[in-house]
Amino acid sequence: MVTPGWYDLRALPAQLPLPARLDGLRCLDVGTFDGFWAFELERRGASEVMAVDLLDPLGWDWPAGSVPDTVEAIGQRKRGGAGFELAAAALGGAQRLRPRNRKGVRELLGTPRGGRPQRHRPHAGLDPRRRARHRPGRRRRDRSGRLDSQLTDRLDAIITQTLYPAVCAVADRTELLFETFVKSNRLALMWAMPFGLGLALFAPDLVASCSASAGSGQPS
Amino acid sequence: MLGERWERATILIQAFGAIAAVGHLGFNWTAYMRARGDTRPLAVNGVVSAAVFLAAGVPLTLALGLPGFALGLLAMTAAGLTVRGLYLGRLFAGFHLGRHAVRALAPSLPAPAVILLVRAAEGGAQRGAGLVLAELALYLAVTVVATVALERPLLREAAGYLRGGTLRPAGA
Repeated sequence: MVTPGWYDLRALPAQLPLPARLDGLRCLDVGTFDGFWAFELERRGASEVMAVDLLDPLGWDWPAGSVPDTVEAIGQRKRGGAGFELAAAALGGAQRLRPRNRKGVRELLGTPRGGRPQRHRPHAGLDPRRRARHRPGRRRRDRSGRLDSQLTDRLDAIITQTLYPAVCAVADRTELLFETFVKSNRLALMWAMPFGLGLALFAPDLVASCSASAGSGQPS
Repeated sequence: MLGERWERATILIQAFGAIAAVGHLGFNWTAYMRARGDTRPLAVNGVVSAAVFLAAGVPLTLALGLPGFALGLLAMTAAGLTVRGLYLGRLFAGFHLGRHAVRALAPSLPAPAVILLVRAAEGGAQRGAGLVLAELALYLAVTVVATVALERPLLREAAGYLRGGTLRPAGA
């Protein structure tokens, strides 16, 4: 099922570090629009998915200077949550809540009026078995890709699926944050520093060896 | 290897090497700021770096050419490190980027020192490919030995995470 929506999100689930299975978990999708992520979470087995949104575009926090035509156009795209309702009717699911108003969103998030919502903490509270599924080694490999893209994908996977979620999980615990910061930086410097200093030291040889051999005819 | 065309860029390659090395000091700070929901420092860092490049990098490039560009990049990196150190000091009470640098760079410094000593002993002799490769091998060997010697607990902890066995955290 495809709704007009706002963005085409269909390529994103494969790129984001969402757990493959969410069985037994309760999920909250804030700003659900047509409910793409809500239905995706449900498809992954979440026991309960709560989708919330503000249906009236005038109730959104628009950047200063936003053009009224833009506000109206995006509001029409949302069509009062019609896309969500359509998908909900087609896909079923008894645990889903319908989009709420702004007050309902505040109550749901436990946020006082004018206050800030709770910080997003990916993977916080998952048990160790579930965390293990996030290890980059378990990521599906793209056999058709080149070696360099596989390596960068792997590095990207390590950062997005392991390091950054780990940092987010301890974002409120400064002592753990400090420890991970210092250690991860020292690990990175173990290769970056010798590489950089080596490049600085051997740059003249990197350039000059060929020019010397070209001039003398001798290998250098 | 690269050829004569690159001869004038030697200083630039060296500067890139130095920037890559020094720029990694606390490079992952952005992830920590984002995780804390405080992204203003990243914007400040971007603006300061751009301002320094415009104020120093562009004039130096116009005046000195490639060496000036290299100096401009180094100035920009230095400014970025200053901002980074400032905000990290606010995030982690008592943190000092200089002290962190001394500890983090310790394993990487013996190798360049050894190479510079070897070159001083060579006394400006003709540098053939054999000598360069020998120096490179020495550089890598000293780096590995120094890293294992000085960062053994951290390496062991990291390897433990990769193996997924029982973990024994090293001191931060």
